[in-house]
Amino acid sequence: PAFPIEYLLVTLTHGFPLEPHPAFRATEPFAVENREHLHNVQTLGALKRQIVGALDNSERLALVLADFHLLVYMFGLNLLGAEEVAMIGRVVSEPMEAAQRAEELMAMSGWQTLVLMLREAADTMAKQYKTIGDEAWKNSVEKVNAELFIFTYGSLVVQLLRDHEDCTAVNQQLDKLGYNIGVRLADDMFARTSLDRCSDIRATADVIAKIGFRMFLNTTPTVSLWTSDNEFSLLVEDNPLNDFCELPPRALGDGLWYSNVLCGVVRGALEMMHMQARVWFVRDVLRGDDTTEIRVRVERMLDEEVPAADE
Amino acid sequence: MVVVNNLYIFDRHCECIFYTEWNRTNSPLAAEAEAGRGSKDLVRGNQVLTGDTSSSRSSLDGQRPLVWPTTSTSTTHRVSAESLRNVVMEEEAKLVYGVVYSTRNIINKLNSKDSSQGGNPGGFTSFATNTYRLHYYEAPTGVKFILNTDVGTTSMQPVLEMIYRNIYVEYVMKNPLFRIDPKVSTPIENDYFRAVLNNYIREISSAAMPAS
Repeated sequence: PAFPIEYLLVTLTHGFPLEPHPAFRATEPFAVENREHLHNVQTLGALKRQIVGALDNSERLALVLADFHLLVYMFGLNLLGAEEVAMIGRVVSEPMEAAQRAEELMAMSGWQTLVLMLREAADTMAKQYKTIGDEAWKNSVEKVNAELFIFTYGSLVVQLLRDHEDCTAVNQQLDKLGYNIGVRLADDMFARTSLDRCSDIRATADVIAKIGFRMFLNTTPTVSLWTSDNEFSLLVEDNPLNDFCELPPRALGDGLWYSNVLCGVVRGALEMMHMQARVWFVRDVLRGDDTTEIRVRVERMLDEEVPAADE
Repeated sequence: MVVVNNLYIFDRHCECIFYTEWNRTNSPLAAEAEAGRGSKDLVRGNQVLTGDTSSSRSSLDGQRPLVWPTTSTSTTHRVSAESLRNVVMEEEAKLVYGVVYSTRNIINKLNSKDSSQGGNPGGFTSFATNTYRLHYYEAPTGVKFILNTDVGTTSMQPVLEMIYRNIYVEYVMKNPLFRIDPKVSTPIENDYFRAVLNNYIREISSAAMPAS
């Protein structure tokens, strides 16, 4: 059958306002969902950071909540009741009175439950890593005499200095040594613990500090000084390699990083976990600084290799 | 009774760094070994084969199983590198890797957990055909273990994990002479590794079937 052809003309308004006033105006956007391959993952830890960091200032909280993806994620947790959802809607859609609405929101019980859960949830992940690290140190690792290890390492550095004379070359050698150790250490760590791949770089940093360092060196550095989500510092309080060690003035002057092997180890281990990173020493107590700081920057994620296609 | 047929180990660069078999008909390794034995007394991969002329081999009862790949430095006779490449075996390894890689990717995508770094978040553990069952285990660093057994065996995940944790990491990763290079794959040529692996598989095969 042939239908009569008719036309319906509709005018649609379109265009952009001269002065845009978007409702979703968050300055530090939350991670978008379904972007795991970009390694920008929505986690409770990220949510915690955004929200708990803004709890003291209702203006800031209103700003943080004005983020579509954050709201979707938060509602997806199913922790907020209908009242809280409605209030959040008002916080976002009434920017003039946002601060006031945010205050009202903070008083609501559902919201307080959410904040409590966030505080607990993110912490348990950290606690979990710590217990895994402690347990691994106690049970899964054969231990060797610390002094033997320290003195062996020390004599290795001394020998390298004699061979190379130049401290930059020695640093490079130590880094290479560390790299060869690191690529094997990743498998070793997985063999001894029941860990699986980490979802994002923050979790990786935690695992390196709380489990890796703890298992192999019996010291737990603190992860801090995050800049831009893929660069962080490991602050080592008591580096066992520094015991009994004193740097001669020549080495101090030339820029020797005594424990540079640690940088290589971290770099090698990260590479086995598909992350290409640059790892370097920033401060060292042996050189007179107040603390030992190793900086790690994950430059890019390495993709899994694809088998070569047959021609 | 668990009958273990063969084992492949692939490294992160999609290369087969180890293959061994205990129970296989028409194996490309056995065929090559026979052909080699016909012409001269070659030592292939530290083994001298004696006597066995049938094409099916079951080596859980005394003989050491054949292993692949071997590099030319491991044979004592100087033969050209060309004749040591077992092309049939190479192709087979590539095919097996391709099957496993694609299957794992499909499963990951269907679980919407795929990522460009691989891994096994979808949880591909095994598939079965009429004649055998293939078991797969991927370590977090990207090393892949593929074990073929008889159809009746349900899960060899604990076995594969054992092989990874206590045999591969112990004897391969911790061996300072095993070169790990981001660009080149080194085959595993380690007598301790082979011996421990054979003993372990022997134990598994003769123990009662584990409750699943």
